[in-house]
Amino acid sequence: MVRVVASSVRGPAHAKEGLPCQDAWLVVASPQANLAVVCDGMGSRPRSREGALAATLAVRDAWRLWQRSPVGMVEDLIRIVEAGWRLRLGQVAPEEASTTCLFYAEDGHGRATLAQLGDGLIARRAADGSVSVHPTRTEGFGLTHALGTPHTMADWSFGLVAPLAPQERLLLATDGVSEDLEAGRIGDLASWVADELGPLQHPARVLARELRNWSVPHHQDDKTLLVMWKP
Amino acid sequence: MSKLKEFTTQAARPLPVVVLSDVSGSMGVDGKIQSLNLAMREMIDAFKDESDLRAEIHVSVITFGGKAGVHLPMGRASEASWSDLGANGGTPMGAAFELARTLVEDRNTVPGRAYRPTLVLVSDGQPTDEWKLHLDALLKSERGGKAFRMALAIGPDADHAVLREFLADPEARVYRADEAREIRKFFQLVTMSVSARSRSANPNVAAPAVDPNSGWDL
Repeated sequence: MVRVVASSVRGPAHAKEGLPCQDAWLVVASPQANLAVVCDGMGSRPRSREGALAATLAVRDAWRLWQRSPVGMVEDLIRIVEAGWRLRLGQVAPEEASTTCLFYAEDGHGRATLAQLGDGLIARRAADGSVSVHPTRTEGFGLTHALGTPHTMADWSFGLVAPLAPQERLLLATDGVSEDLEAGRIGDLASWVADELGPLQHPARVLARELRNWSVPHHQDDKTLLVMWKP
Repeated sequence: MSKLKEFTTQAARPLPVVVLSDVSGSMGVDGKIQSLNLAMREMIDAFKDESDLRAEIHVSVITFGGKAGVHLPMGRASEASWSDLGANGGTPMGAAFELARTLVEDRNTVPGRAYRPTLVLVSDGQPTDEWKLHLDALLKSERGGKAFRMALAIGPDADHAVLREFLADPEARVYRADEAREIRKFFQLVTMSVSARSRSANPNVAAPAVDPNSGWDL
């Protein structure tokens, strides 16, 4: 079974305005297949908290269906995510609930996919210490695609990958975290979460405390960090 | 202190402002260069006074008068030291566009985590060099094309067509300063625009338009 440590915390901007955290994350860990999702509701949209929560659930819904086929296309998984997200929003207008969407999904048939719409970070640290960062389609200067904003399949960055191997670490983060990370320390961060926080009794609480004590000047964003690993 | 500090940069996310300023000989008459110097000093001082921002404002000033050059290298506004400009020579605006493109595209000067820059063009005359190619290159560059742009035409001889091409947005307007004192008002507008954006939930999105009801032709 994989292990996971994840936390979302409200950034100073939302704390000051009395607004809740607009990030969301979801994990399903099982012997057959694993799923990790991180979503960042766009701060400028009034219902983005609901949008982020709906997106995590939509990915879970779509993933359950996608697992039924050993040859399911990632594009189909994404199409179901998009439709499921809109359905889960119900009466909420999608453009008022815009959110990024990043996920790692295993299909239980020896395959996995990484997919990303919008900014944030997906990275893997292999057992040998090498780090691979999933490429993004963001437009630079933080201009981001999102569910609920005009986009196409081409704006998703996705691909099939090998499922997590023993000793490998997967890291997903919203841009409140990823924009401030030193590029050369991403693998070390994943290892620190797995090795130092993982054994603690309440690792998520400790991680949340660390995220609240973010030390980068002028930081304002909500922050979500999720690390999944296979011992 | 957060252990996470070991994994993060300790620099705030910059919001770059690049001013391309005409300092050709014609700027030396009617008090224009004096007004420009005062306006620039006030803008930088205003940025220094800003607090509670989401971004850290960085400023650079490129001048074109006789030749184009970097008068104020890109750096934190809070640490900027202003020295007055003089006016001299022709109007090599194209060379200034090229300098601006190089500056904005330089990942060391404007890092990837920076917010969208604001480019401000101020001129009282017509370019005296090959400007079109350089402006096209700036507007087509990956980052220059995404920058917010503002333009000020000073006096009756300013080339509004060039300034409009710089804005490259039919809905954007070229501001006019028919008198030297109006240069200050334009830079107050720039200051408000940048400050509002740096405080907003998403500094990469244009801040709401500032109330133009300031008694002059905005």
